[in-house]
Formats: sequence, structure tokens, C-alpha cells
Amino acid sequence: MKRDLAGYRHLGPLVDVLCRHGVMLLKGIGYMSAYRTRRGLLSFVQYLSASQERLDYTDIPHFEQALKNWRDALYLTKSFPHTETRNYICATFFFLKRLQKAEALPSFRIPSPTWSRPPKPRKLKKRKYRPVRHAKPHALTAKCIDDRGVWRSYDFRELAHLGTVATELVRRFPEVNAGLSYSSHSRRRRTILAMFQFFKDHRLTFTPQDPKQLLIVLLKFREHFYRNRNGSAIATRNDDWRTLSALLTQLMRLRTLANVQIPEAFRTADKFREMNRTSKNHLGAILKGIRHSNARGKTVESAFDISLFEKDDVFLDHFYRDQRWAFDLLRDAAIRECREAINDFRRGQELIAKCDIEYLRAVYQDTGRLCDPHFANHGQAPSFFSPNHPHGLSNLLGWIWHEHNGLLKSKTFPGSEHIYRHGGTEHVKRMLGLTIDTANAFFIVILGETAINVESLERATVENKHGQDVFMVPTDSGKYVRINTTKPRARKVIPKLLTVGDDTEINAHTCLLAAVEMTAKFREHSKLKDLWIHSYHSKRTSAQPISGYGFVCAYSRFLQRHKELKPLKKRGATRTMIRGTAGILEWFDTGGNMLKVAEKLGNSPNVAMRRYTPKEIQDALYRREMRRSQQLLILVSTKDSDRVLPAMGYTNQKQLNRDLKAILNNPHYSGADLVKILFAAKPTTKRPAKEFPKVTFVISPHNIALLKLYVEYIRRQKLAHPLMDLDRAAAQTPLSFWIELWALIEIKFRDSFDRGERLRFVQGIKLAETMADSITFPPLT
Amino acid sequence: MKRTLTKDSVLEDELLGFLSTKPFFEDDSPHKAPWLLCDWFAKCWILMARNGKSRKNKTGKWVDVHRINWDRLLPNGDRLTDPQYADLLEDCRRLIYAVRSGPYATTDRSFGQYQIANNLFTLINWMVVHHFDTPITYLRFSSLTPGDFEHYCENVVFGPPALEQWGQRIDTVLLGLAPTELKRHSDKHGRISRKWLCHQCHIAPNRIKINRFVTPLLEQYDRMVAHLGSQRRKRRAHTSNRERNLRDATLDPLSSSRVEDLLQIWFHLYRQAPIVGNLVSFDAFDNIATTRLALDLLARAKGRTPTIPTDIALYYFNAAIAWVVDYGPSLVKYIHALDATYNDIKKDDATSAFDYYAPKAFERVPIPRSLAPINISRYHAHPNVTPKDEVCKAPSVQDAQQYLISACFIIIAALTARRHDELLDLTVDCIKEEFDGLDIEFGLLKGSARDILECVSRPIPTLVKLAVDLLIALNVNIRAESDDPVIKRLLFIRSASNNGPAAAITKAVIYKYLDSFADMIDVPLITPTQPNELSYRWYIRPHECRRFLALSYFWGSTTGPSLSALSWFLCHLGPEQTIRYLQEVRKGAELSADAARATVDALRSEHGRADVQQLEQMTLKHFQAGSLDWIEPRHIEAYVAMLYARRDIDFDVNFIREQNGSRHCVAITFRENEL
Repeated sequence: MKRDLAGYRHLGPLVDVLCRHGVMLLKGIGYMSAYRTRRGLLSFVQYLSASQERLDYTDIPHFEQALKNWRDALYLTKSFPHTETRNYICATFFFLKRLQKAEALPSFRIPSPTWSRPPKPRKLKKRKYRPVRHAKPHALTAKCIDDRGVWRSYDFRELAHLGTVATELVRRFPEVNAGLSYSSHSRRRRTILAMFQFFKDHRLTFTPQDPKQLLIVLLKFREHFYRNRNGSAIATRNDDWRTLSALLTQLMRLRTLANVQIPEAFRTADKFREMNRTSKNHLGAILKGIRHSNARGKTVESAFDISLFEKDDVFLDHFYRDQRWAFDLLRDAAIRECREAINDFRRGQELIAKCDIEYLRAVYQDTGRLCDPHFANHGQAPSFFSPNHPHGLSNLLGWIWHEHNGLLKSKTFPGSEHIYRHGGTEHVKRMLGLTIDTANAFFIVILGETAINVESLERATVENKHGQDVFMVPTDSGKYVRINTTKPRARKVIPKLLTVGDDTEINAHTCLLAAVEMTAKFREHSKLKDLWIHSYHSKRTSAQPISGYGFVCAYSRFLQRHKELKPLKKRGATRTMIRGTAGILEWFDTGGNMLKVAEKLGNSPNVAMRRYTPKEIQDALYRREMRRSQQLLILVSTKDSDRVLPAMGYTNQKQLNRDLKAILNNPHYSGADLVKILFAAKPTTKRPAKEFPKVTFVISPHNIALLKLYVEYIRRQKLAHPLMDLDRAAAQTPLSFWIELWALIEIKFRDSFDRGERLRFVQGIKLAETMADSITFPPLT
Repeated sequence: MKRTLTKDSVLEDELLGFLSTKPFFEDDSPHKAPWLLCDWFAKCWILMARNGKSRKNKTGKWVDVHRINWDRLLPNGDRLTDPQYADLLEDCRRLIYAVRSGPYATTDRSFGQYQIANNLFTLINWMVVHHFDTPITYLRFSSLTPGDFEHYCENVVFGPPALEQWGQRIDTVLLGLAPTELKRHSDKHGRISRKWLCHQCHIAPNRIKINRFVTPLLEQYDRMVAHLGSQRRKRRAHTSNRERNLRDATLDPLSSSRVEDLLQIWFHLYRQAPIVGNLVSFDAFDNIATTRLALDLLARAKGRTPTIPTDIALYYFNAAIAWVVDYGPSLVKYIHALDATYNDIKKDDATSAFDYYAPKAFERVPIPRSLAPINISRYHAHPNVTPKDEVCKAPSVQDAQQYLISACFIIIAALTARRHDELLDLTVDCIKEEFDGLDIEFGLLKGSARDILECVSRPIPTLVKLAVDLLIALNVNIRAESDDPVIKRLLFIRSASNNGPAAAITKAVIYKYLDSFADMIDVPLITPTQPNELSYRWYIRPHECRRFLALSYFWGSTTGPSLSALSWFLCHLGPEQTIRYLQEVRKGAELSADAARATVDALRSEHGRADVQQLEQMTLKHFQAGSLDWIEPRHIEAYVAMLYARRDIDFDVNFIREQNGSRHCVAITFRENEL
């Protein structure tokens, strides 16, 4: 009892009296009576505390009224059956009477335990009597009364590690929360538990009586509180914080905590970047709001927790890295599969070519069986398709290829029992042509590179409506192949250019070529125009197009198959997201050029921005771009003066140099007017340009041969170092005029040349090649 | 833009209700518009402006409002408020009311209303000049016919002077006079007295002041009067680039937008006829858009903001930064010290005249060493007769104050790229701290919803904060003394005269400041291409800063000019609006290097297009090469830049709508100039 009432000392001397005499007086009565007395007294004290009354028993009329009120309240709450309530009240009042007898309390009139207007007793017949819940209340269970008068208990066992601090808090909890609504209770409980969880996770010592330390940890918690709840709206967060702050303030008034100024809630969300789900169509983790604890690739993922609150540069960088990481993971896995599939198919083709199908047919006609008589041993000939047969696999593939049109139908194929020993159905199918999994791998590679709509790509055909083969049309230069993609919803055809790759490289072009090649045999007999067809597990005699659902299942299997894609699977990455991510990556790579994105995605610019590029990322990029351009403008305006540093807002030269370097290295700015002005004066101040010597030189056949050698040398140099600046080379080498001449021959002349002079030179060189004599040229300027 | 009107819908009660139930011009009428700040029958209407700055000053006068003066002078010498025009005037009032608050309102801005009123007066003047009121009828709009409209269209491209026949009217007055008589009517500047002339011709004097049509006409007559030598202080030390254009364009038609406005009044008269009554009964435009009609009438294409040359812009920015960073803080401190001393002297000696204190204070407070380069010579502004050069060499304290304000203005304008209204409406607490840097907050003037200015914030560098802080510190005393909440709030304010009441800096004032700043920092003159022209100076304007930032940003990055970023920064409604900035024909070779680079990019990547092919052939012919791949890009760039400089080709950027759909892309088109 002492422990129960210890927290209520502040209520007045009655609590002291109860504590002092309670133990003695409770001796000798039954367990149930003692229990009821204790509960009843506790409830009384809590009730008084909630109604903020003082337990001043010397003020007799007041005290009598308080007792009556408590009795009525207890009847009204109906937390126990009527009779049980009466028992509690009786026990309590009896105890008080005994106290009066022992002269611990003054003699005041104890009201009758029966309520003057008792409510109707409950029908006990219908509802079974239930013993009181929480018959054994834990020390870390707080029970408090809510605004509707219902007693509710809350569990705080999570705070067990705090020891006495927790007990103290829990004891105070009913007191400060009495009379509040249930939702307020739970919200207060939730927030305070979150706070202590944070302290525990970050190993912060919670010292309730040290104001300085308390303020520090509270500030830290606030930051964490606002950061780490991406899901909830900022308004909810603010409400939560205010709730917590009110609770803490009450605790401070009760001296449970030291008195500090609790940090305020943030007024707006401006200070923190809110990632709304403006666009879901990409692979990024942030927008999906998924925790990263289980995901692999920790280096990338661990960065995200801070990235939301960093400056724009870091934020964009993290976002880009995440996108790139997810995209590359998918693409790499797909490319690996593609490569395997293509190799398998090629090997299958080789094996089919080796197969002597005529011989097999002849044997089959003669004997009616497919056993090779050459290898007969004691009358037992092995099957042509058996792995024991030296050409087993070759025969197997060849037979299916020629007799079954490349379609593996286990029911009709005579050697089907050997298939599993040749690596299984899937393996054999891959050697024969396109399987659904291979198609999926191809699909991902093509999607990543071209960002064609998923639906369009699924419905791709190799011929158009009129039966013309316009699937891939090579362009004039030969570097690209044009494909037409139809977009059913927009009812239009969008041409796309694919880069032609070599044999070793796997890209969209090679994938499409391989897909066509793999399905050629199927297509012969089925008359299907679709690009994606495969042999179906059934008795159907022809190949079937891969359905949309088939693709979805294959994609799901693909994610499952590769362990490294587990995080993406958790994020629920779909194929549409690959397309979106391809668009976003393009957007980043082109420095935020929405026209390029629109071109890539085949949407209008506005749609591409609205649907595929998250608003927050756009804003962050715009801000960064504009800030950079403003700084550049200031830098260029003040470049030669002393006021560069204060104007740019810098304190030392280092920062400025870093900026200059960044501008110089940024390919986006190369050649810009302002940047040219910025760097215009620098080389001249450091190293004045050498005067070009006026050279008169003689060109003879010998010299021409020499010149050609030099030209070849420089061409090689140029190939090896594509960024080589001819001007710089000219200034540095003594062969400058040779270089000039080379430029002449290659018809790459500079501005400094006069057109007439240039013509004379070209003609002169041509003449000198044929003539034996030498020609003297006028001086070069 | 087809405009049709169904008569049936007009007659609905709910539309006309506000006219019939209770006279809407009475003060207690529920229909009285909140923007009308005066009596209905007032001679001058006061219209509340949209930016929320309209207020009464201490003397009870409305400030920052638009006024429509009904007491107009008509070409026959009458006034519009004369009794014989009472019906016409009432129609005018109702029309002007209805264009903003009627069921067919077309504008929500006081300035739009004001412009419509001015165009309406032009039409009335035209009617008077062409004797619509003779012989017996009163002047009324309902007498106008489609034939009249065609007559009106004949001269509309030359603007109100042509419509109102100013030339003939001035000629009839002046041609009859001998040179001696002309001299009698000359003013103190030795020109023909404009006031006298206006009185004779029945033209309002403020309309004739700087009219590009009248000025050259009068100059002819001015030459006949002996020139006495101008005593006026010139506003600028050199010819401005704008004056130059104005002189060139004397006989040019008006811009299409202006012509459109003048034509539009006919449409208003038809559209509001069911509401107002007594207006025209035919739709002058039927199915034709006014824009098209204006262009058919050979109006000039819309004049856009000129592109400031890069070196001039950078010169300006450098000078402005110098003033803000180097001189600004010490100048503000010095001015505060002067103010303190001024007050001390005033306390000691309360008897002397006002002009006495300031020079005394100037003598007592030493000029800081850091301000030595400015060479401040006195406190008060120089007298009017002082030549401009001397003022610039030895400015007064007041001048320096103005220079500082203009320097701050240039910096804010250049780095935020705001319109002049938005800049002048900036408040004291416009700088906000974002987590990635500083932001500036302003009311967006264009593109905001009706009657409410949207508050927008955009990133700025720290330099802008420096400028804003200086402006706040400079005017801290004025702001503290003033009771006017607007003055306390606004960033750009000034003390109107010596110890006079504080006032917001208006567009005209800041332009004047900018001009004197340009003369003070001695912006390099631009030598014209034509031999007989004078060299001129480029006087900067805020919208040129906006355009400069936009162009230099867009053309400044090679691979990814982010159109959407620019569009976001300029607060445009969409990228199509932004592309207009980049689409306009660039005069001269200000940014030719960038243009050349963009051209070469197109040349190398897009082989198919006809215009590109043409340039390709030109280039190949010039270089005598077989393929573009052989030539180095920078050589082609140099060549293309040369073509620009020679104006052999012109350069445009377009949204191209391709055949197969609505795909847009930036493309460059070339056309050989018809030189």
C-alpha cells in the first residue's frame, strides 16, 4: 500500500495517514477484503488527484462531499458489476471507519456505500461474470480513468530497462492523464515510448533531474522525431510533438523531471524535405517509403537516411546513386541471363547441325524404334537420345528440330525420358529457341535501353499490318537501327534509334536480333507475327505468343532467382518502373533536360515530368541549377577585382578555387559565353602566346614524304588522345608549321588563314607531289 | 480567337439583375464594386489597384491607384462632362464599370480598365474629329456602323495621333503663323510653347509631351524659332539605346498589341451592349481574331525586351557589386552619422533655415577613407544647370544615396530575374532561410489568381541578402518615423524631398536612378554600325536583367539546357512561355558564340532537315570539304559566328510539332537574310 500511495504524497496529509496505519489495520482481514480496500483507496486517491482536489480531511464537509462524489463516480463508470462496486466501496469505507476508531482520522460522517439512485443492476444472466481484468497489476502497468469514466490500463513494460525512473513515470502516468480521452492516452503513451526507444537505440542517458542533459537529449530526439517518420504527414507529427511536450510539462510540474524549456514543434514542413509520392514509376527506395534494414547493398542504402535532410547536392547525388544502383543491378542480371541464353542457343544450333537426321529417320523407318544399332551390345541398343549415346544430345535436339519444328512436347516426343538427364526441359528448350525466361531477360535489357512502353513491347510484331518486314531498319550511317514502336493508348507510332552493337556486347539491338533468330523456327509453321513466341507446355502443335501474365510471372521468377535483387523485390519493383528509372537517369545525365526525357519515354514533356519525375527531385535540381548559374554570374562579373570573395559569400580563396575548378570540369558549361569570359584572361597572364614565326619553306617530294609521315604520326596521336588541343601542341612543338600544313592537307584549317592563301597552298602541295622540283611558298602568317 | 455572343443568354434575369433591382452606382447598393473608391458621378474615378497597395495618405489623398479622368478635352474644345455629352458619358461609365465587374467582364486589373478607358477616349475623339455629332444628333456609339469601322481601321496602325489627326490640327495652327509670331509663342527653352500649342489644338498637354509622332513634327517648327540654348538639366549624359530606336521608328506603324488594343474597344462596345445599352449593334470582328486583323493591317510585330550585350551587362553588375560590397556599408554608416549630427545641430540652433543644417553637418562629419574613390563633394543635390559630367565626378550625399539604391536594385534584379513591379513590391522581410540556402519571397504579378498575389519564393545568393540588408539599414530612420504601414513594409522607399514625407519608389523614379547610375559608372558607349550615327549608351532596365539571366543560363550550358528549370525560376506557366524568350530574333551578335555553338550542334546531329542541309552545303562550300566530319567543330563555330555577325543568317529556336504527333523538340532554323 505504501508503494501504491507513495506517488500521491503531494495530495495532502491523508496519504501519510493511510500509509502509516494501513499496514497495521489491514492485518487480520481476508485477502479479498484487503485487496478491495487497497484498490478502493487507490481509486479514491486517483480520483481526487484527477479532479485536482486536495485530500484535506480537516475540512470535513468538503471531504464528506468528496467521498460521496467518488462513490457516485465509481457506480457510474460501471467498470465492475454493481454488487462488486458496492463491495469495493464498503471495504474502503470500513477501512476509513477503522481509522477513525484508531483516532488516526477525525470523526466525520462516512456516507452510505449504497448509492441513493442506484442504476439498474446488470443482467448477470446474459453476461457471464468476469473477474476483474489485471487482477495482478504489474508495476509497469498504468491504469487511468478516461473522459468517459472508464478505467483503462496501459502497458509500459518496454521501459523496464529504465528501472526506478520508469516506475516513477508509470506511477505518474494515471495522474497526469486522468480525464483525457482514450486516444490522447494512447498517443501520449506512443510518443513517450518512442522517445525512450530513441534514447535506448542511441545510447543516450536519460537523467530526469539534470536540466542541461535533458534539454540536449530532447533536442536530439526532436530532430530524429521529425526525420524518421516519412510516412506520416507533417501535421500529425506536429500534433504528436505537442502531445509529448504537454505530457513532459505536466511531469515537470510534478517534479518528476527537471524544469526545462521543451523545444517547440516546427511550425511548417519547410525545414524538412517531404517526399510525397508524386511519382511511383521508378525503382527508387525513397518514394516507396520502405525501410532499408533488410536490404543488401548497405553502402548505398545507409546513405538515404540522411539524404532527405542534406543539401540539394547530396540529396540529388544519393537519389541518383540509388536509381543507378537499382537499375544496374537489374540490367546486369538480365544481361547475364541473356548471354547465357544466347550461348546456349548457339550451342544448340551447332549440335543440331551435327545431327545426321537422315540416318535417324532411316533407322526409325526400318526398325520402328529410335535405338542406334551401331552401339548394340548383346542385343541391347542404346537410344539415340540417351546421354550414354555419344551424340545423344545432338540427336535429341536434331530430332525435335526437324521432326517437331523445334517444339519440345514431352507427350509426343519419343525420347522424353532422356530429357532430364540432358539438363532438364528448360535447358533443352533454351537450346532450341526462345523460352519465357529468356524472353523476360531480353525484355528487361530492351526496356532499360529504349524505355518503350511495356505494353507496346509485349505486343511487338516482326511484320506490320501489310505483311512488310520493317521490324528493324538500318539507318544510312549504319551505326543505328530504327525500330517503330506503337503506343496503343496514344494511337501513334514512335520511331526509336538503337545503337548497333558487336557480337560480344549485349544491348537492345542484339537482344532483339537474338529474339527474332530464336523464334524464326517457331514462326515458320505457326504463321504468327508476334515477336515473343515460345513452345507451350501442352499438346498444341504450334508455338504460342507469350501472354502478359506469362511475362509478369517470368519477371517475378527472375527477381526471385537472383539473390541480389531481393531488395528490389521488397520494394515491389515492376517493369514499368524500369522504364521510369531509365527516364529519370536520362534526365539526370542531360542535366535536367525534359525534352530529352520526353523523347526517351515517348511522352509529351509535361507528361514525362509529371508522371515520371518526382516533384521534389525536380525542385531540388532546379534550385541547384539556378544557384549555380547565379554564382557563375557573380563570379564572371567580378572576376578581376578584389571583391570576388565577399560578393560570392566566401571567406577564403580555397572555396573560390574549388568553385572555379568545378566550373572548369563541368561539361555542361564548356563553351558557354560567360565561362569563356571567365577563363579568357587566365592563359594570357600566365604564358603569353608565342608569336607564330613567319616561315618560308620549300616543298619538295622529299618534304612531302616527310610531311605525310608527320601527318600519320599526329593522326595517331589524335586518335590516342581525342581531346588533344592542336593549338597547344602547335605552341609547344617546333613542328608547328608541319601541323599547320597537316591541317591544310586534311582541309581542317583555322580562322587565321586567308581563303586565297589557303587555296594557293592546297594547289601548291598538289603540284609539288607530281613535280620533281621544289616550290617556295610565301611566309605563313 | 472566335468570339460569339448569344443574345438569349444575355437577357437572363440573373445577369441583368444587378442593373434593375437597385442602381448599382449608389453607395449603399449591394452591387457597388469594391474597387471603385469614389462617387459614381465623380469627375475622376479612382480605381483600386490589384497589388493591395492602394491607400489614403495623411492628407486623405488616395495613392497607388489608377485614375480615370472623365473631364476630357475633346478635339472641338468641349469637355466630356459638358451637358450635351451626358448620355455618352454615362454610357462610358457603365462600359468601364462592366468590363471589370459586369457579367461579361474581361479584365480584373485596374490597369486594364484604365487602358480600355483611354482607348475609348481615342474612339470618342475620332468620332468628334470626323463630325459624328453633326448636323443634329448627339454623339452616341449606337450611330456607328460597320462602314465606320472600316474607316477607323484605315489609320489605326499609326495610333491615336493619326486617328485624331493631330498632324493636320497642328499644321493648321502653326502654318498660318510667321516665324516672328512663332518666336512670340516660344517657351523658356527656346522651343514652341507646348502649352500654348495644346491649348490651340485642343490636345491635352500631357499627351503631346513625349509622343514619337509629334516630336519630329514639332522639331521642324522648333528649328524655325531661334534657339536660345537649353537651360534644362539633361536626364542622361548620352543618347540612350531607346531614344535611338524611337528616332528610327518615327513613321513605323504601332506594335500589333497596341493596335489590337485600339481595335478591341469595338468589341467591348458590342459585347457590353446588352448590359449597358446604347452601344454598337454589330460585331466588328465577326469571325476574325483581333490579332490577325492587327497583323493584316500591317502593324509592327510585338516589340520585345532587347538583349543587353554581355560585356555591358557584366560591366553594370561589376559596378553594382562594387557599390554594394565596397562602398555600401561605410556609406550607410556615414549617412547615419550625418543624420545624427544633423539632429544635434537642429537641437542647438532651432532658428535657422532648413538648408542650413545639412551642409553644417556635412562639414563636421569626416568622410570615411573607404569612400574616397566616390569623391563626395557636398550634401545637397547639384543645381539643375550643373553639367552631367561634373555631377558624376563629384556627387553629393543625396546622389550617392541614389546610386546605392540603384546598385542594390540592379543586383536584386540581375540575380532574381524579377519583373519591375515584383521588385518594387518587395517587402522588408522578403529574405527567407531555406535549408539549402537563402530564398527571396515575392508576390507573383503575372500568373497569379484573380485579386490575390501568390507568394512565391525562389533561390538567391548571399549577395542579394547583402543588398537587401543595406537597403533596410539605409532607410531605417525613415521607416521608424513613418506611420504609413506600407512604407514600413516596403523595401524600396525614399524620402521624397528634403525632410519631406517618405514615399515608395515608383517605376519612373527607379528608372531615373538607373540612368544617373549608368552615367556615374561611365558605362562604355556602343559604337553604331552605320557611319553617320552617334554612339549611344545602353541604359539598363530590370526586364533586361531578367532576359539576360534567362539567355545566359539557357545558352550557357552545352548539353543540358534545362528549360524546365528556367521556366520554374522565372515563374512561367509552362515551358512554352519560356521558349518565347529564346525564340526571338537576336539583334546583333551579343550572344553569337552560343548561338553558333547551338547551330553547329544541330548541324552535326540533324542531317535530314532542309534548312540544316542548306547551311551544311554553305559550310562545305566555304571549307571546300567533302564532309562535315572532317572539319573541326570550333572552326565551323567560328564560321557560323561570322555569318551571324554579317547577318547572313538568322537564328530561331522553335517548338517543332512533328508529323506523327505532339512531340516537341528544340530545333534551330536558318534562313538567309534578304539583305
